[in-house]
Amino acid sequence: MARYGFIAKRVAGIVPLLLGVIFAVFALQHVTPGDPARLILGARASEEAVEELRSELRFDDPVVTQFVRYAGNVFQGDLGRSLRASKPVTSIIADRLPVTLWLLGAGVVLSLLISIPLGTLAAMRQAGWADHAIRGVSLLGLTLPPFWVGIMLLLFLALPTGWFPITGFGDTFSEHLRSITLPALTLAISLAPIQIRSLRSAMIEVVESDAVTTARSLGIKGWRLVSRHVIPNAVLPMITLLAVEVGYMLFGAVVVEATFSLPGLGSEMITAVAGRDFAVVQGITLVFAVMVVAIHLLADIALAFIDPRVEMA
Amino acid sequence: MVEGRMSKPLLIVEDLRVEINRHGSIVTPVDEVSFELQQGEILGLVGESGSGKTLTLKALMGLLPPGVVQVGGSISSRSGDVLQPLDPEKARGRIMAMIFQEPATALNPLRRVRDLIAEPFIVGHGVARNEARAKAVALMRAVGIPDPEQRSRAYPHQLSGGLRQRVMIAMALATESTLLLCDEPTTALDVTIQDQILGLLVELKRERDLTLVLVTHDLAVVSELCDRVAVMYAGRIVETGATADVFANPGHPYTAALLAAVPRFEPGGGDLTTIGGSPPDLRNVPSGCRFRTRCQYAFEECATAGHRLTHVADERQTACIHPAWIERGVAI
Amino acid sequence: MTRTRHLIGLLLVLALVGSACGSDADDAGTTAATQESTAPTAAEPSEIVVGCSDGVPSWDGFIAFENDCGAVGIPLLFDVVAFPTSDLSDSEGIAAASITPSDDFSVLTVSLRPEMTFHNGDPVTSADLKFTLDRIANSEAWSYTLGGFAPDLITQVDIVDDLTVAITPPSPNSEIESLGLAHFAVGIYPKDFGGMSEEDFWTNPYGSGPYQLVSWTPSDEATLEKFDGYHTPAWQNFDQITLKGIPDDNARILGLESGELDLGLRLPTNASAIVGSDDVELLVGDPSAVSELIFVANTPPFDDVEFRRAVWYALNREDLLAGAWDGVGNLPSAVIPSALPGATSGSIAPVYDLDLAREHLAKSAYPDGTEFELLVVDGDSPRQTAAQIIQSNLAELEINVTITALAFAEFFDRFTTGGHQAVLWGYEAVVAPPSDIIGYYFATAGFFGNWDTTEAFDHFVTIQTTGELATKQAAIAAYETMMAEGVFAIPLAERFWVAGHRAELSNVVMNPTGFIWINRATR
Ligand SMILES: Nc1ncnc2c1ncn2[C@@H]1O[C@H](COP(=O)(O)OP(=O)(O)O)[C@@H](O)[C@H]1O
Ligand SMILES: [Mg+2]
Repeated sequence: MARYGFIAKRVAGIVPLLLGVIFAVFALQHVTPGDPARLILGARASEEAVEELRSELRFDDPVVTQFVRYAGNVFQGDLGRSLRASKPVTSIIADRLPVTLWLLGAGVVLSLLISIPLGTLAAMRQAGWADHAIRGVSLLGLTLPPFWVGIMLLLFLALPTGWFPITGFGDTFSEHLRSITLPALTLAISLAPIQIRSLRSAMIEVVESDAVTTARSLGIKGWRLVSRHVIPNAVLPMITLLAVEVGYMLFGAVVVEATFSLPGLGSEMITAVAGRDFAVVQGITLVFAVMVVAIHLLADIALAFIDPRVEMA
Repeated sequence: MVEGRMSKPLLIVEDLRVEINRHGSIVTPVDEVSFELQQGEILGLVGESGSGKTLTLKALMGLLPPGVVQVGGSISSRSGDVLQPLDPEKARGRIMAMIFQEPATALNPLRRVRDLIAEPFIVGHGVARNEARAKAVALMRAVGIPDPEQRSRAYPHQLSGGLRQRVMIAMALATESTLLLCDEPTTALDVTIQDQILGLLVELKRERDLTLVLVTHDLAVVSELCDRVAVMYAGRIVETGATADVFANPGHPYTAALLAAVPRFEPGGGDLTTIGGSPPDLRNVPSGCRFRTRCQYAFEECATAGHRLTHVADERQTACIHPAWIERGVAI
Repeated sequence: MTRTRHLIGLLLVLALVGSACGSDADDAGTTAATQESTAPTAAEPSEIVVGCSDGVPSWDGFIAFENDCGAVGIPLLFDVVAFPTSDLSDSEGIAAASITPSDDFSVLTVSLRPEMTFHNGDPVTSADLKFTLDRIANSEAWSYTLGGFAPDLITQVDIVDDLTVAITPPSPNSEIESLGLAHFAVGIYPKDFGGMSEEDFWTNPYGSGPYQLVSWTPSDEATLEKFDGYHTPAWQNFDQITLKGIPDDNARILGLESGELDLGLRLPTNASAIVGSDDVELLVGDPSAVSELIFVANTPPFDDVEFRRAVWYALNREDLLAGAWDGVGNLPSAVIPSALPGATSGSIAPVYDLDLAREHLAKSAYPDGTEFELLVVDGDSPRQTAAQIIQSNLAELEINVTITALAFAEFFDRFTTGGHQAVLWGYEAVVAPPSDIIGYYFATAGFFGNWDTTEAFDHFVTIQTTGELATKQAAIAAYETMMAEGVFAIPLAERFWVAGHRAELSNVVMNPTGFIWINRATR
């Protein structure tokens, strides 16, 4: 009961934030120096064409009027039309969002599959051989640029084995799974190092905590100690970390999608920026911002459900 | 009765030594600690903070923090009529349990009270979960938690400090251990609650035939509750004996100084009302008797004397080599 | 360490892949079964997959003219009027049965092939061609495509009969290339977009080209299939063509090696060093792009010929090529890259000679050095690096160069309105010439116009009005003579295009601008 109320309240709490996000995305074309119509058409367009677009997009209305109109359209699911593809931005996003969600989902799962065992091992063998090795490898993972890692995976895994396609996303579920493996691994390699470090220090802190000492004093040991007393407490900061990492993940997704030619939002963002397809840039920025907000909301809710100390008032 | 107790030591600690390697320099916060614990007694362990009381208990439990290691000494426990070396890994939660100073941090915040208390039943005694929970509620009632049914569903942070400490005690009892090591169990609590918790411990001890080690700062508590007392200074036990004897006639200047700091226990002299100076830095302890730098009775031999607890009477031991203090200890 | 990381990665993905491969085996099984039962005797359909640096963003040539997938795809979907031959020396009619100039070159008559139809079955008529050409004639954006500063390309289009139109250029001109009639993007659309709104038409476009659109994700992937009603089946060598946008250069090479791609466009210029498979054949073009240091010749210090000569000799082009362009390319030999028609190859031989540079500087108005501002586009990393090398080269002569990196719009603004001393820019032939050659002259003419050099502006007019290649070459030669005197832009480095194809794919011809017309390729 209190929980549903809590969720409703948190969701309601992000509405002003979302309005802020919409405003920021709207402002994007007004703070960019120069005439927004000129920005859309490019330096080479004629004055008449720019004038025409100005009046078509009603850039001469007062800014408040323009914002109200923009926000109204956004809430009705109208993000404008791509000037290049001549398609509604929503349909472009609908085509490409699933790919990005696949990439982020698989990337996070893979990064956790890497970081949880390695972080735990490093914490358990603190200052030992394994700890140093893991620290070194994760430092390497942190410094290698994702596009390079991606190309190396293609070169040394995809090409010789033939298990993974070099490009594209495929049509069936199993093709998607195969197509997404290496991109997700690339993303995971860039995400895991920070997770490993965070998990390692959280683990060490928890293992040495009074609560775990108490549990041990009662004869609790082995897997039971780890699974009931260490991991739950060590995982709490991981949830926050994942939420904080989401912006970094989206940035990574842009790079990884371009490397693996995945038709996701990130690669569309690159071509839309290059082609000055402003409505698409705005639409994707909005989706990215909403994703960040949503992930933080989910993290908050998850934390509240896992940690009884969080007041669900 | 004295004979009986003497013949039944539950635990014998000999020459316990604990070291910490701090940036290359080794310090010894617990050094040459030996004592016996008699079945069914309450042993008080007193000393200024930093004297090594907690580490002594943690060493017994095999729960020394990382970087702190037991490097010497033996711990034996009695099982039936035979004494055998104690394996803390096996003894924890079976024959001995510990109650910690800070109930606020000692309990896993993510689990409900009933699961915390039920866990030792499940782990140590193979009790099914539902039954263990029922037993947990019964134990909560036994340790004086009002409304146990309802409180069993609470999380630790929802309870007051006193109740948390009762939960901690219930958890220790759930292990069905007979030896409880209580490390300042009331220091973090309100004064009014302190008496209740100590009362509870004594009551439980009587009902369940427990043996207790009680670490405390409060000499009044020691004199009231403890059968025997051991006084620690800078990692060493400097005096042991029956509480009444020791308090009446301290056999070590440090004990006398401690007692003098408490008005009620002012010994005959009267010129010792505070302990001058501060405990020695462990990285740089004085040779010989570690108390000598603060001791107004110190004489030349104190600087070279080895540490040895000498029997001055049947149950009285002191580490002081000064004839006058040995005399005082004997003069019962 | 890298190996360890890969191993760990490998282990982790194996679990995922296990399931994927498992279910895939089933898929393969069913596909094979279907093929056997439905088409046991039919020849294997011939399909190719083309990897470009960017997927088709739009089928409108006005938008996709800078896009390599667009350049390949648009003439497949829309029949073009004419197309340049692969050596760029001439053009041949595609949809046009004939193109005839009037005796005084004032009117050009274009006749369409009879009995052509759009993909929906409607006939292609002169009204459709007029609609297409009027759209070009009236589009500002398009005039940039063909040169940026061009005035109207076509003054008027009149319908003569059902299949014939008469085109009036602004001044007598028989050269169809310069009128935009042989450009990949001038494919014939149905009149009034077949009754659809323009937006709807470009969402679901159709034309009369050899292939029709099956599916399309903008900027990603497009699939086209053979159009059965096409007039020249010999130009339809495949049943299906897929155009894929693969932005990463290396991924395009790996896609070719793995067999996922049959044709890869715009490969990195060092591709030959990367490709490790005999199944991939590379096509390397002649230089078709040049980067230049362009300056304003009527503003100090570049108004001083001796100063310009000093700069000419002080630039170490080998350093520039190695440092800014990774050593891939050539030292410049001409303002017009050698591969393009009109280039007088070898007319420029830049020399790096500091002593000579000092001599010229001593004779100039700035014997003790001076300073100037060099504009460069922010994010144009090769040229930003080049600017730094130029800066250090000129520092030897006590000439202090201030580098200003500007966003493209601002750069372009200052560049074209003359508010600058020098810029780093250049010319890349990204679409099929000769329209680009003209575009180049239009563009440079524009710059020179702003620089108040009337000779150059005349030069531009001459090229446009005569419209004969020989005349144009003569004009270019004159222009390069001026160049050799150190008057205008200083070329820095030349680049060329590389494409690759699977060995099975034959008849693949690349013209010097990197353009590949798939209709000529066969399997
Ligand atoms: N985990 C630890 N790491 C390093 N030093 C410690 C640690 N725990 C205790 N010590 C040191 O050991 C000495 C004895 O500590 P402790 O047994 O807690 O004393 P007491 O319980 O008598 O107050 C103190 O000097 C303390 O600083
Ligand atoms: Mg303590």
